[in-house]
Amino acid sequence: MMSPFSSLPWLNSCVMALILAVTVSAQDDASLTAEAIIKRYSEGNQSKSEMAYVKMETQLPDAPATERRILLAYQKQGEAESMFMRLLFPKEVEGVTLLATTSAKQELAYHFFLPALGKMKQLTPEARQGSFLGSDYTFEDLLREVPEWHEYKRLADGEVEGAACYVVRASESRKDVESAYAFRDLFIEKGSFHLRKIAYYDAKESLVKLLTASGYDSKEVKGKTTRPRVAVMQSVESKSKTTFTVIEGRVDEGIDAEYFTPKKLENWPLLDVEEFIFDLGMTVDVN
Amino acid sequence: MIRLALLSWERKYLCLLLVIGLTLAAVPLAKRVTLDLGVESLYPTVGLAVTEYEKARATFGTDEVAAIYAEDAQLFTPERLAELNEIHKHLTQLPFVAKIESLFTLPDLRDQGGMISTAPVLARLPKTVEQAVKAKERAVTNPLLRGQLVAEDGTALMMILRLSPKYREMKMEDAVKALDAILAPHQASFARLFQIGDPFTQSWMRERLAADQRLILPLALVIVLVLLTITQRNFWAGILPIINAAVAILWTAALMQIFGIPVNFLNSILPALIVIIGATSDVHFVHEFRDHLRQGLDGTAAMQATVKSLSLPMMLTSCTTVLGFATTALNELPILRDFGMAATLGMSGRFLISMFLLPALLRMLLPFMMPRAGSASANDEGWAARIASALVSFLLAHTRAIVIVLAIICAAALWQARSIRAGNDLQSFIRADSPVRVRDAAVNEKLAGLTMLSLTLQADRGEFLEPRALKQLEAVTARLRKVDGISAVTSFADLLARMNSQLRGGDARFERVPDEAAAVQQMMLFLHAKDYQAYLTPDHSQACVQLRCDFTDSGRLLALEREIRAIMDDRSFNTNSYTLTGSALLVATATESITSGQISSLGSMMVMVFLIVWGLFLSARCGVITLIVNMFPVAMIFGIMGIAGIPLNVGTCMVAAITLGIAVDDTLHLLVRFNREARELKDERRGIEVAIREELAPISTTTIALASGFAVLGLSSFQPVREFGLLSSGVMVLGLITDMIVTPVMFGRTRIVTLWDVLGLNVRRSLIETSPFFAGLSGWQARRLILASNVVEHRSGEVPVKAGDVGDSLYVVLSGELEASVDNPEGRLLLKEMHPGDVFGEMAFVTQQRRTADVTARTDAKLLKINYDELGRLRRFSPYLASRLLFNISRIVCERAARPGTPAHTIQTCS
Repeated sequence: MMSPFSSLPWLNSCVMALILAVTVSAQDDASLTAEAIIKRYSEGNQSKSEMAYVKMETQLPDAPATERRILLAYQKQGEAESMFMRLLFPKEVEGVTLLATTSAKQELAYHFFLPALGKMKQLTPEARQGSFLGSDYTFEDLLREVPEWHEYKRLADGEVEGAACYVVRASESRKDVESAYAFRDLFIEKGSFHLRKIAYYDAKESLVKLLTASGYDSKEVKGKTTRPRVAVMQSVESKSKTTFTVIEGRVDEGIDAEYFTPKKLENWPLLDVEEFIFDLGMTVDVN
Repeated sequence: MIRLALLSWERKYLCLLLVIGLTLAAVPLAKRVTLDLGVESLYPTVGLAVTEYEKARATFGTDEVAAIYAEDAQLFTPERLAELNEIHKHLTQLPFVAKIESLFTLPDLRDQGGMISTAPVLARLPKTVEQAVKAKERAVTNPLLRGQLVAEDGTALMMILRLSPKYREMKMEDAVKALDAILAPHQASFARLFQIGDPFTQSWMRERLAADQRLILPLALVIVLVLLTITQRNFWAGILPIINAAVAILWTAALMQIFGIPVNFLNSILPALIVIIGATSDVHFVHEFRDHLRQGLDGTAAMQATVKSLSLPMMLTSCTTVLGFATTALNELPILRDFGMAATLGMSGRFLISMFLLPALLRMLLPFMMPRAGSASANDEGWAARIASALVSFLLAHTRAIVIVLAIICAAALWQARSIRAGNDLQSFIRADSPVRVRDAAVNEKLAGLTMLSLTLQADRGEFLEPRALKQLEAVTARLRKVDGISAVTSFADLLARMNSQLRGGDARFERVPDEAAAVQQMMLFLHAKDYQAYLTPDHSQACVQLRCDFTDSGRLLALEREIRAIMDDRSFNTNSYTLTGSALLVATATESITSGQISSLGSMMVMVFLIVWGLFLSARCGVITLIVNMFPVAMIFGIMGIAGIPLNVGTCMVAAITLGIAVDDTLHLLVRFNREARELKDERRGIEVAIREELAPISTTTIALASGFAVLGLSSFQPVREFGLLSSGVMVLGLITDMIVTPVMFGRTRIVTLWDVLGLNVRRSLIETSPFFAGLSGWQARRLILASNVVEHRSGEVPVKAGDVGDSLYVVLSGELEASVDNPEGRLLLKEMHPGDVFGEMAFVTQQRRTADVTARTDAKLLKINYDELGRLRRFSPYLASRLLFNISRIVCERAARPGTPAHTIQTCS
């Protein structure tokens, strides 16, 4: 079973896919089905734990960009997965935390902590369509590609910044789940199976958002799995965009499970956060 | 103009081919003329208010919306909600719908058993009755939804469709059909299920415009045909104006396309106006032409005579009519400007066609134009003469009383006119029983009204994330909720208050803006900028308070605006600056443009009429009297508007200027005729009688045609058009009455000399230079003197001065020869022969004595007659001229007295 978190590819856990890559390159591009492409892409993103210090910048028309610094952590334990995001900057939002967990039965749960309220609150599952921290991402966008939840159709190959890509159309297959999108077109680079672009469409088949990912070979993300350093989500309607830039990242370094609990996150002083980051061997200054 | 008409007569086929060619070329252009039924045409396109509105629209979202309204006593049941969900799904597929605001889409942030839900109320369809009841409770307890998208009792809800730019590219009917097609399968499940908003309103208006055209235009054509056929006793006399009108209508539509003038509900009446008003000039033309035929002239001679006698009055009356419409184009409201421009083009084209096409058609139909024997019986003329004579006798006998009565009526009407109020709102232009009004009323009953205003508070960048500014916003919002007439108020403060309370377990005590900046910033993490776009700019420098009202009356809106501004200006809220705007408010504010437009158009028209009459008769007095005659019906109509509560709107504000331009035509025809007759008959009273007798029929015919034609507009679906039509019809009828009553009263004792009389006088420079009477006067002063005097004509043998008469007039021989003579026992004694430049009657002029000799015209002669009273007037207004004149007269008297050998009695005789 694939884990549903971290649609942001640099957050995905992965098993190094060298052998698979070799296998795929030997195959004929044309013979690959949509499902096979997605499977290869998903498998290439697996990891047991990840950690990243990220800058999230949202740019709206006629307004100055807003910058947030976020600590992201992910771990997988058996079939259960957890991810938290802790805002570290600016001061007004420092300490705001979001915790997303999925049980072995794939039940999603979102908790959030606002220092102004003083305690952890849980969000209902419908929140997946809501804006993630006021950015152009929704919680749904952050979910990792789960092949079992979608139907796929391979489209004519495309190109992103000169790189030849498979283009696969994904649409929600679960009848009891409402998606904000009618379908998504995923552009997956041939050979590397890196996700380069996702185009999101509504029921009228109009483009509503566009995600582009780049910087797979950056040195800031350390680990066996390659991750894009920069991911940009553009909203067509609001003409706004949110850019995630990994300042520093670690893959499969191992994180203590106690951090992925509401209780821990609710009472997690900044000093402890700094220590946590330091323990993971990251050099960023959260201040 | 004369050449054009004669060319048309002489080259009838060429002219016809040219007109047909131009008309065929006009057809494809005419087909492409665009339609503009938007509310934008009801307010000025430029100005600070418009800029503010456009800015608010661009910043906080378009107010171009459609809406689906569903009502049922049992609305929140799983079945009905499932049907609404079905409708919603289909709506999301429509290409012209950019966004839907409804219970299916708007986030409903609330504490739900300890969990925070941001899902819309109907994100998950209730499967059971209990779930449906719960959904209803959620909806009606959310202050951001209650009254706006759902009725307080949960029996009605609305889905607001924000329209995409694609909407402007498509036909309104298609949008309406698409929405109706979605609703049709579900109609039976709801007590009420319908669409409202821009597409429906505009589509309905378009449909009504077409229906009006199908009714009004044929009726106008029938009226013209029947009326002219009957009055002219000739079928072709009725058909010709219709052919001319058809050509003019096509040309007008083509010109509108070329000049980019769209059709709106006002200028859609132009075809009918072209038919009706254009027919009046044709009536005069055809009537005159047939009159000349009746007198025995052949076709060409009749046409020449017609053109000669009518070219001037037709040109003048065309000018006044076109100017009447053109003054409307001065208005800053696009709907009036477009009407004025289109009408100016249409009417100019129509009169051009009368002069260019009509002669050619008359020549081709010459055999049918010949009057039948006895077609204008002596009996008819006898009746007209008796009526005219009786009327003039009565009027001249009771001049003072009539003037007093009319003045009282006029004063009373103007007093009543004080209560006229200006009004401008699209809703009031549509019948109250129309589906648009009925549906709006139903929505207003259950939900906050659809009249939207936005109050934008301005601050520094980021300031509206500070609790201080947010508290001010909250206070403003709360204060506005107390204002009578506002049915819903929402702002960003409400959104934050809702979040603050729900994030704290739904605690009502926290239903307010958070006290700390950090709390605000943290709550903002739940929102993307587009979630609060309607309330706050992305840079948080401007906050918009959305106001909704359930009325559209411009007077109430302006009163509400004043109240809101008073609240904002009293500094209690300490806001830096603000703007209050909204399309309904812009339209309401445009009532000022209507009022000022009324004043400017009527004022310009009065000035132009005065100048035209002054130019024609070279008399300011004449101009003033013409204005009084024609302003009387206008004043009456204003009085009627005041009594009947008819507002000054985009339709009624045109009545005064346009009808003045049309009504003055009859006065001009009457005056020109009066002038001619008075000169020929040398009797102003008889001149009036003849003028009334001769003009009664054509003026009555044209008035009846115009009044009927305008009255037909009373069948329009649009209130301003109905009021314009009926009031204009009233002005036409009143205009006829005043022409027949006031004109004789005003002009019965007024001498009229036209510029053409003066030009025809051919006063020779040598005469002015040699006559002692004109000595020392410039050419201009001499003409001025002639105009201030009376030019009289005498045929050979006539006696201008008789011995024994009391005289107060002095004569100057302008042309011809006369002799002074007295009777004596030996017979007739010739005293003096008089030639151009000679003066006689100066002694009686000075001394007021009886004449002592006869002066007889030996040839046809023109004399300048100046009496003592006129000299008095000259002394007041042209003292230099008068003093020079008196000096000349003194010198003439003295020279005559001092001339050696001149017997004293000769002087006496000449006096």
